[in-house]
Amino acid sequence: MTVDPIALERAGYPPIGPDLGEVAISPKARATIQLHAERSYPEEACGFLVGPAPGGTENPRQIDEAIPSENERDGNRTHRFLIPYQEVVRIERLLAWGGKAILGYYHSHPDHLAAPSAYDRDHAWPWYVYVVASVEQGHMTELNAYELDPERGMFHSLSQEEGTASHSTHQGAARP
Amino acid sequence: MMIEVRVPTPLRGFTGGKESVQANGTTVGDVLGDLSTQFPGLRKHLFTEEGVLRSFVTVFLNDEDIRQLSKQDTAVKHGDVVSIIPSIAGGKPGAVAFPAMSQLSGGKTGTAPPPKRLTQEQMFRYSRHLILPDVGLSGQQKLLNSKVLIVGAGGLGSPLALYLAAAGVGTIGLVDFDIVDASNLQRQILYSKQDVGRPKLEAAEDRIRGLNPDVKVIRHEERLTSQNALEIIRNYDVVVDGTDNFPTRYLVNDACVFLKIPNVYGSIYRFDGQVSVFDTRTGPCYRCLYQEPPPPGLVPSCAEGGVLGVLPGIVGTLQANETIKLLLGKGEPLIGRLVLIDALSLRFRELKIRKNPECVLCGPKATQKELIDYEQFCGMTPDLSADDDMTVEELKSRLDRGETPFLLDVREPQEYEVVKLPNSKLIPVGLLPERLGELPAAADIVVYCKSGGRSAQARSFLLGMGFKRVRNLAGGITAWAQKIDPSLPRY
Repeated sequence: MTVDPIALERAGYPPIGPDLGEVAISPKARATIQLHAERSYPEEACGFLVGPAPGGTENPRQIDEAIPSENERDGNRTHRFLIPYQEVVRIERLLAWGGKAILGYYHSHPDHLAAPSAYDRDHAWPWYVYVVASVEQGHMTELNAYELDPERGMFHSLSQEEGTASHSTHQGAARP
Repeated sequence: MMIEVRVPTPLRGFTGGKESVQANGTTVGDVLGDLSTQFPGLRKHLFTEEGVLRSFVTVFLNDEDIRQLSKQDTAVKHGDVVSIIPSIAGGKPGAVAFPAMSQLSGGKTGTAPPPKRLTQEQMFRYSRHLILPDVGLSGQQKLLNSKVLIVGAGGLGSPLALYLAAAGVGTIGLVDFDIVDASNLQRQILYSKQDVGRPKLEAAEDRIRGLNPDVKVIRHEERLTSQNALEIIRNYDVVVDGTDNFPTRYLVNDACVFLKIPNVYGSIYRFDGQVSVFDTRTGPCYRCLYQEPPPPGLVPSCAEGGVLGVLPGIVGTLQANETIKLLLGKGEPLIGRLVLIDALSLRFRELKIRKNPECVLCGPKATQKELIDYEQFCGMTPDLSADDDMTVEELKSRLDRGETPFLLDVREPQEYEVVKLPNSKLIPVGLLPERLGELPAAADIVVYCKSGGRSAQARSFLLGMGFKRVRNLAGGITAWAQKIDPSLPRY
């Protein structure tokens, strides 16, 4: 399931490509994202998605933990987030001890759709899992996962594996 | 010349999984150009269509950001390493309104209120913050929406509560279950003379309300325990540790590590203070610094060891400063740094503290996954021998009967000067090992201190040294002054 394409277009989001695979997000990671996203409201929350370090080039799709980061963006944090490279390096080094790695990033869209914006796309890296959470009036309502197309033209959605909780905290919330 | 280029994980799909590849060039720009020729899939991730390095791609030459050097024109030489490092950015579309989702969220209660506008009165009250570039209106609103838990409403908790309330931190939780005592007033500036005898939190709430009615005070009039700590702490954004004992300090640390909430640490002893911020998302925790507590009795509490009254003011305001920085997300937090303050020489020293890879709590091989019994961890589980403590009433009746136990006072000379039991012998606890010869081997010994802590320590030491008939005076000279001889001064 992804966000309704009509809602996407109405809200000014670029279209989303077909599913590129599955991702398993642990309930613990999901809870962390929710807590962080709700606490940061009305600002955007952002953080790391962490799982077992990949062996080769395959995309591991098992997110065990979410680690909140500061939103280091100067000003306009209600619309933008930034995790500076120093943070990325620091967290990577810490994780390496435990055989874990950054597999992606999450961020919230306060009072907006759980879909990547054009700005998200223009600033994204390939390979990583991007989780976008919608927070409506302080409550997380939806959480979706995406991956950037290797050609950078669009994001593809990643379906969430069964047994890793539902996409929405209440069904159909994103459908106007 | 060929230069080593380190490729970050997300781009290794384009380099055949290689973490490190070789590329040719005499400048960083050349090297990146050659890299993109060798691995064409990389180009559009590194450069815009106009050929400019993308803003979120950081390039290092050895350990320096090329933006600090000559950017892409920076010359490279044999043996240099070029590293590509990601920074991560994004955000929702500009000003497009969200399709009316709120109408569909029926059934959900407790919707968080949108940030309130500041009233005229608040604008005026916080005007000195509002004109600060790093605070401003959005920073002030952030403070008003923040929740801070202060553990301990004593020497450190006093300046903390007052400054955080004055700054407009919207919700302040306080944990304490003590009563205001006249001996608190030397440093606990939350309280006044008329508060003596009142529960601390009741007096504190009155004081904070009087200072700033914007602040909601949440009273946790209970001891923080392994059973209630997570429930209490999880509701706050930042926890400030103003405790005076090791079990609670470890408990606060561990709970904050589990909940990933920053812990602003401060401690004081006599003329020395310490401050740091523990946030295991990016730095060490208290356990990384002090793996285990000191043996019980080795470090006396402020009640026993004394403290310069102004010192908690210095340390507490530094903690308040760090708390506000964390809430605002501004400045350089004291994470990974420990500030040591010596009030006598007035010197501040800073030590770097690192995450301990062996930390049982926050290290990669952490073994402790839940809260434990902290009294026991700190060796403070009352041992059975405490049953053998002598009450002040028993000592009184023994003295009245004409018995003459050897009264051993293990406090410091300056305490002995304030008040002492008649016919007692002073040997400070630290000097006991070298002055054992002054004790009678066969007589009954009753050890006392101010309130029973140091004397219990001294008693176990003496029993270990072979003394047989040693008992501890429960409650110390304080209990004696309360129950037996009210004419004695208390301190």
